Amino acid sequence: MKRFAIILGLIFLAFHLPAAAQNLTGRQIMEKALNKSSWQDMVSNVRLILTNEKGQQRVRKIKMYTRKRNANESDMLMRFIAPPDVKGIGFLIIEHQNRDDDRYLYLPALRRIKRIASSGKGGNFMASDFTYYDIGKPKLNDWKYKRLKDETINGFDCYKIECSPANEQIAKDTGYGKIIRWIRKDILVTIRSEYYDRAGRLWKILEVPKVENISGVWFQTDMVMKDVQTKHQSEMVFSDIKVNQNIPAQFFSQRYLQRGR
Amino acid sequence: MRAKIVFLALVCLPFVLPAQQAELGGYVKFFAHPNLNSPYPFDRLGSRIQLRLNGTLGEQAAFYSALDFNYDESQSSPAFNAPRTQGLSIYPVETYVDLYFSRLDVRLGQQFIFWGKTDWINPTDNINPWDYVNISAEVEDYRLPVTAAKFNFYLDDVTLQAVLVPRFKGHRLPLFTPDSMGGLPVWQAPTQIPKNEIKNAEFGLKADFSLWNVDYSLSYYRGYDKNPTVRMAFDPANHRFVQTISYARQHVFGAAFVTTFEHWAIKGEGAYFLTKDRDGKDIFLQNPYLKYVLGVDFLPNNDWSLNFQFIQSILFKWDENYERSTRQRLGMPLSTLPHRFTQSLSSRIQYQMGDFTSLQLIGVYNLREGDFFLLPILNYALCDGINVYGGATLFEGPSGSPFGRSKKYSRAFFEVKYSF
Repeated sequence: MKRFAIILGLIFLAFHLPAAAQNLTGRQIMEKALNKSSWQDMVSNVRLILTNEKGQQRVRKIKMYTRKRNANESDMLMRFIAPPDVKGIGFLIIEHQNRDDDRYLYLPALRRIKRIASSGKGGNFMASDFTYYDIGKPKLNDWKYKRLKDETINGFDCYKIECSPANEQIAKDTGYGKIIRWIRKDILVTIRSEYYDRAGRLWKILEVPKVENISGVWFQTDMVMKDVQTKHQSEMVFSDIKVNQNIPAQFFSQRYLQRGR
Repeated sequence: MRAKIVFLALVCLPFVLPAQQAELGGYVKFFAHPNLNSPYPFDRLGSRIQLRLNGTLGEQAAFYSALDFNYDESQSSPAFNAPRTQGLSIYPVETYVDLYFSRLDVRLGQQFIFWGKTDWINPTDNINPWDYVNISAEVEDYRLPVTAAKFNFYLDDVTLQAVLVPRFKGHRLPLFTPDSMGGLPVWQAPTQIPKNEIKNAEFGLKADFSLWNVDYSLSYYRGYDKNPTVRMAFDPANHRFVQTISYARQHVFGAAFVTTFEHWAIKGEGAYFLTKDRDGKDIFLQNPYLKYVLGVDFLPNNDWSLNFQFIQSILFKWDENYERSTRQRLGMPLSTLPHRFTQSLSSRIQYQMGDFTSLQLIGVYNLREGDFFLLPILNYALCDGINVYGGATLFEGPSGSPFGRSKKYSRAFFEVKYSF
């Protein structure tokens, strides 16, 4: 009897799961995608490769520490490991939900920590084509969602969602008039995005050639952002990712920013 | 010989210590600094290697040492019998040990300790002397390290810093001693430097904290004015003038703040200098004074970074008639008479041109004298780790004005730096 019930249940799920997925709205898909991850803190090495329109490259290696303070706020501490002329530069971001983030820059050449003005969520992250908004976790209510026809990207079935700024301030802060995301159905991870400027022109394309499951969490471990307007490209490759290391809260402070080693 | 041993020790140490504990780095730099005053001599021409060794000993301690081996052709003689080492100077940039405890960090050794939150001009920053004969684009060139003990106490919302500098070190200055004055010879008396005694140690305290999105610091420093006091007195017995150089004690009470909103940072810093001339009656000593800086940073976009500041100094216990008449009585030129109020403007403009080129312009303009200092720097990154710098340190203004006096030190610079 028990076995019969299980088989019946499985048959029911087989018929109804695709239908349920079919009925999900754009917002529901985004909500599921945003709420799926379960890490509290993360340590990783990042290789940031900047390529200009002539094909000239600059490569930066960064050690990155991140901690979620709560659902909407996080702390991030980064240290440059290479190249040698920028080695030791540190950057601390204390994110705030209701006001501008606190940002501190440690410049070893000057032996000083400097509190710097926020360049906004639309400011470039480490002079790359990624903005602080791009590398952060989007806030569900900042956007309106429209589900478009599902598509297959690199052999993966994907939801295609059009995200429009919920208000003028979000558009102004991010610089985006619209984002189209392709989210893998099986793991709910974005593997491609198109970013449009506020005039409606295609601005940037994000490709995610590699996603990895680390300690039960799916991470985009290789992200390529192409600015189609300037022909500039930035690639972020993550390695040695470790999650839930119990990084103490006081680590994200000026004390550890200047310690640098 | 000693230099060779130090060099060998630095190179060999990373191989002796476990790889994860010690690391050798640094840079090699070629430099050419032609003077901009006719006949355009090279003020500096040579190369430098800086070796940096740093490491951590677990989570409890760390060390850092940097040594400069600088060869300046302009300091060597082209004579047939000149020694090859002429023009070579070896000096420590910083060497210290860090000790870490749960709420305390201690740094012991030769180090830089910079206080302040404003840009370039920091009234509260009085620990490390300046090297005014070595102004360049690098902090390590224009500031001098001090041997000090620094203690950082991390309380919940406040960081307290205590600094002890056992031995006084003054600014390096291009000080001019006249051979004669009014037809009479000038004799230079031995410089009176604070004795190497514990009672002459300098010390400072600073508290850093944040309140309502504003970062504050309050500080106190008890030390010496790093500018020398130059006294000129007539010696009737020997029928000559006697010039004496000494250093006077002072107390500095400082405060600074910085806050940010959107693309702006608002910052300010001020210090009250309680000098030895408490009643303003010693014309050779600086009167007690207040110096403050108010400034803004503005980041209009990803490529530009702008900073503008207003600086004012106010002398207290100031009696202009007394100062003027005393100077006249002593036969001193009135051009050196200070003003009760002096105002300056400063700016720093940075522009990032793509991935490889950046331009920076730092400037200070004195409103009363109309003299100014400009430091334009163009940096081109040839590739990762190799940078080419071009620029100039320009002093301009009426003769006798602060920057006008340094006009002869105006020079361009071209440097290639390979970091490893």
